[in-house]
Amino acid sequence: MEHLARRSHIGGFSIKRGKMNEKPDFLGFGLGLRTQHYREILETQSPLPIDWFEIISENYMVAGGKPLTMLDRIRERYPVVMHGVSMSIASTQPLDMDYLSALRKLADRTNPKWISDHLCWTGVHGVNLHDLLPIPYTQEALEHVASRIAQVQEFLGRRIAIENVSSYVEFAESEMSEWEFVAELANCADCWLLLDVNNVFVSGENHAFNRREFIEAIPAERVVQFHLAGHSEGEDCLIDTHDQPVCDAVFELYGEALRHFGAVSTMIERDDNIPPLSELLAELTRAREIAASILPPEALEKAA
Amino acid sequence: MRLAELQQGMQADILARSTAIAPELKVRAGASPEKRLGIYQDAYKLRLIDITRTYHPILLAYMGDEAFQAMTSEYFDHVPSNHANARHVARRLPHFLQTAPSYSAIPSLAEIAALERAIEDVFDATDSAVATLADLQAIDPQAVESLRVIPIPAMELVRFATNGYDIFLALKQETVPSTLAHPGETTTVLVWRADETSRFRKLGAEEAMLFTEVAKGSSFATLCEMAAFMDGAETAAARVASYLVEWLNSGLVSRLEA
Repeated sequence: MEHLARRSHIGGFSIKRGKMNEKPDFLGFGLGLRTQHYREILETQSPLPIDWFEIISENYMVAGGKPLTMLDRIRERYPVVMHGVSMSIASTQPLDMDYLSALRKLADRTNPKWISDHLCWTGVHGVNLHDLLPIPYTQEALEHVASRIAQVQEFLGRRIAIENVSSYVEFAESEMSEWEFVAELANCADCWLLLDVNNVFVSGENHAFNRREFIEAIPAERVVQFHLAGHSEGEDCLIDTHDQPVCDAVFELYGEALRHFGAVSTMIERDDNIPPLSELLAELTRAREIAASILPPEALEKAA
Repeated sequence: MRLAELQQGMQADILARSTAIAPELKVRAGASPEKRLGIYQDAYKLRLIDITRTYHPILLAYMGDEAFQAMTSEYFDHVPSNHANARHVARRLPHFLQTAPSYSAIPSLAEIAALERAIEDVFDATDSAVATLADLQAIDPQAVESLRVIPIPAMELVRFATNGYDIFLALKQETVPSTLAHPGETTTVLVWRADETSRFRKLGAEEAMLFTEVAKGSSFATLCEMAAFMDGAETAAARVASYLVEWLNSGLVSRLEA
């Protein structure tokens, strides 16, 4: 089966593509799983209009107790994807193999549809700044990140999805745009992409770039998930706070993304100032309605 | 500048609130690189202090908002996070409070922080089986002397040299705590998880001594000998049995090894 085991070589690592899973199916419309909503999700008698949940991987990379019990119960009812914040894929410190082992253990238990993390670094020299820090868009960074993604994919035995982050600074030495970097990275590293529509919006405002140009440069065949989130206004830029509802302008950009990418599993990502589940469901309904107004019904059918 | 140098420089600026990396940054016309870098600098401390506030509500109530903020800021200056999960950023806080010159003179701070830490730790510690009274009743009476009580892994003992536990309880009940005192004897608080909930209770001196021995793997016979030294020898076995029943009923025992 040589054709299923084509190999790409990036920075000394090799990916056996035949071992990687094919592009995941469209899951529909999901939410980030938050502890405040456990009870309502599990105790509501009639099915909630939620197709899937995204978990923050690190919150469940624990030895035992309630987090894993709740996760087991949720995944009996809903498909789950894993989304991490501490892989630090763009860091120049060595990959944290303890972290990756814990991530793989959680994936073995959870059987997620896919695993994602951010195109960022979170620290060097053993420090974790707990922030999603940007990188310069250089050939050096491209090769570095692609080689690490290949290493992680080899370790996990599956492709991962990489998410574009919001940023407040760029780097003078960047040799290409963010969207050129992301597109090239996806192809070089043979990974999936998680397109955060809000992050495109926020960074577009902060760095005065054309958001449509960003979206149109991203290879559609690589995108497996959209994030929709809220942001806040800072002194001279937008801040990616995830503590507000998704604003009209981000929903508009979501519509543009749908026109370019077609049906992509979409979720509302709320991390702070968590509202009642009903408010998030209302935002999710709006996302569904936008998708239904742009895409044909058959495009929005989920796989059986 | 190579990627590694750039990351090292940016991290140093975020931690120290310096701006050495500013010339390497590019920002939109009219914006200031230093101000944009400041967003990351502000977010770093604010985020970590906010998380610490969430997991140490009693310490926060004890110190007051301003002092707590200053203390956590100093803590993160000395002990940057090295854990993947932000929930654990304050896991070295008890040690910091115990050793930092500004705080070690008030030992109740470290003790209260340690209790709050233990409550968090047991919450998602390793799962295990939980033994019941039926397991005890199934033990061959001939084997009781060599019986070993294996505690659940989701269990910790926290010791107070001060009246910090009383202060903790008062603050938890939103009443005015007593002033710091050193009663001269150690208070031991058992923290464990049962039914997916973190629980804690103060142990009497004898129970604290016996449970410490249980955690070391001592046999039932040894426990009885130690209880006999501590109090009346003739009732020692009955007292140990009574504690064992209480531990079983509380979900503290993983298994009984005859």
